[in-house]
Amino acid sequence: MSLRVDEAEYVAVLGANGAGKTTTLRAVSGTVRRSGTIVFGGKRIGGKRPDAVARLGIAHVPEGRGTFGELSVWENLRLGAYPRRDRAAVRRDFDRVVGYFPWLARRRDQPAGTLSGGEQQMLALARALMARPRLLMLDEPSLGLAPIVVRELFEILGRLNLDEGLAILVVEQNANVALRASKRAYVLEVGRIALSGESSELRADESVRRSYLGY
Amino acid sequence: MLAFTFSQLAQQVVSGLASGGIYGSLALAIVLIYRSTRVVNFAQGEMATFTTFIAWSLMHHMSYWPAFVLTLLIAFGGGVALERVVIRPVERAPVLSVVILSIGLLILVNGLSSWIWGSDVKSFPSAFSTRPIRVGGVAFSIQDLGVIGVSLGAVALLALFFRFTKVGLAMRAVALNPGESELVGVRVGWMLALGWGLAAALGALSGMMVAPSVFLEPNMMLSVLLYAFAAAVLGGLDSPLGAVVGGLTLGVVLNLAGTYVGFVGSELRLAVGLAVILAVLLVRPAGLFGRTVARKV
Repeated sequence: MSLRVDEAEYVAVLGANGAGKTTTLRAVSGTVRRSGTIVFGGKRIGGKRPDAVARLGIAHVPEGRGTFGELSVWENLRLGAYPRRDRAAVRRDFDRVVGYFPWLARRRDQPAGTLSGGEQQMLALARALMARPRLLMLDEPSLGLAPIVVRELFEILGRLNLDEGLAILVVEQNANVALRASKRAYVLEVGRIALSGESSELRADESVRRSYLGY
Repeated sequence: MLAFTFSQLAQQVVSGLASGGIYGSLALAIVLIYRSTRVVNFAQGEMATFTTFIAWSLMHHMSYWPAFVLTLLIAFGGGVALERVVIRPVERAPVLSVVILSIGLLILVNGLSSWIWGSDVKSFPSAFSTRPIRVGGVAFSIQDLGVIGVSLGAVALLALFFRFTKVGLAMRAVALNPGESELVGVRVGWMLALGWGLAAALGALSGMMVAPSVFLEPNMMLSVLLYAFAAAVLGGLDSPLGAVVGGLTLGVVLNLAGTYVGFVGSELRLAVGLAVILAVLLVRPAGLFGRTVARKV
């Protein structure tokens, strides 16, 4: 399969369970064995370990929140900024993510595990932002969240992409939400790309919707 | 009469806290490694003995405190190197293989100590005077108070390190979830090596604190290691705080039992240590501060 995300682009990967969406993200972040070529910013990263990939500026928010439940909200955010040495800028970024999620400041000392599912997803996103990534990868961010929370989450993702030029690669089963938000999309079918194109066109195409996206 | 018993009790409690501080630091060393790798490092005591021998050699060339600090640094470096060279190749091996490796390490390091320094008993200097000081009619040994101070000081420093530094936070994250830590850019392997380094330094500290009273020889730490295990199990193998509290509790209990329970004396102390391990495993396997973890088999 061949897949690309341009600078500051917003791309969705859709498909049924077992189509290989999660594996695609994991191949990029290096948490699964991989073959082929993976290039990021002109550099081959196919042989790099996950921590090295993360330090290059790829933030991977895995499925199922992926926060450290026993650490406090604040400690989770500090961990997000772990690879960075620019202390002053890190401090500004604390304020920046608190701007997106004001409740983080109020609940900074609470263990992350005691947050609601939606809050944990927001915290995972905030933690990823603390790394100042160039590419943000999210795996099923809407899973198990109430529709209103999903809307808020994708609204923030849209702002990050538009206002800050952050490239986003989002894997979703919720095709409707993902196609509305993204600019381009790939549809996977058991390990290969069945279809790709502008999100708006995929969404408008009745037959695509019925045969691949099931809504 | 009552005043006499009180002062004896107070003395026994303080000297119990002193041995407890020593058990606690070695227990903490065991817990640090166990938390992040699920491996109980049986060689921890022998590593401590080895580094205490290094301190003994250094003290022929310099005064106590410089040798003390230098030994801690050497132990730290040695612990890191040991993890990188010996443990890392078996990082992904089953826990049992690594535990057996650590038992092999125990025998190897023990032999190495005898080979280099001989097996005759050596006296080891104490940093603190053995003369007592009187506080409100009770005589405490300065040695005991010093040992308590050094052990608890080290534990407090370590707690600050874990709480307030970036690397300390990353080490905690690795202990909780290595996979997730990698995704935020933490070099997991190096954090494990740092853990071994800190554990080795804590072991060296406990060795240097216990050596003046038990004398230095290659098997010096065998019984201390058993008490440290008892302390770690009592506190919960997962909990650094538990290791320290467990150590102090055990030290005091052993001392009081030795003094007030006629038949325990000094011969049955080890047996009491074993009884504590057994009792905790039977009654509360997670220990006082540990979490109960359900594991799928």
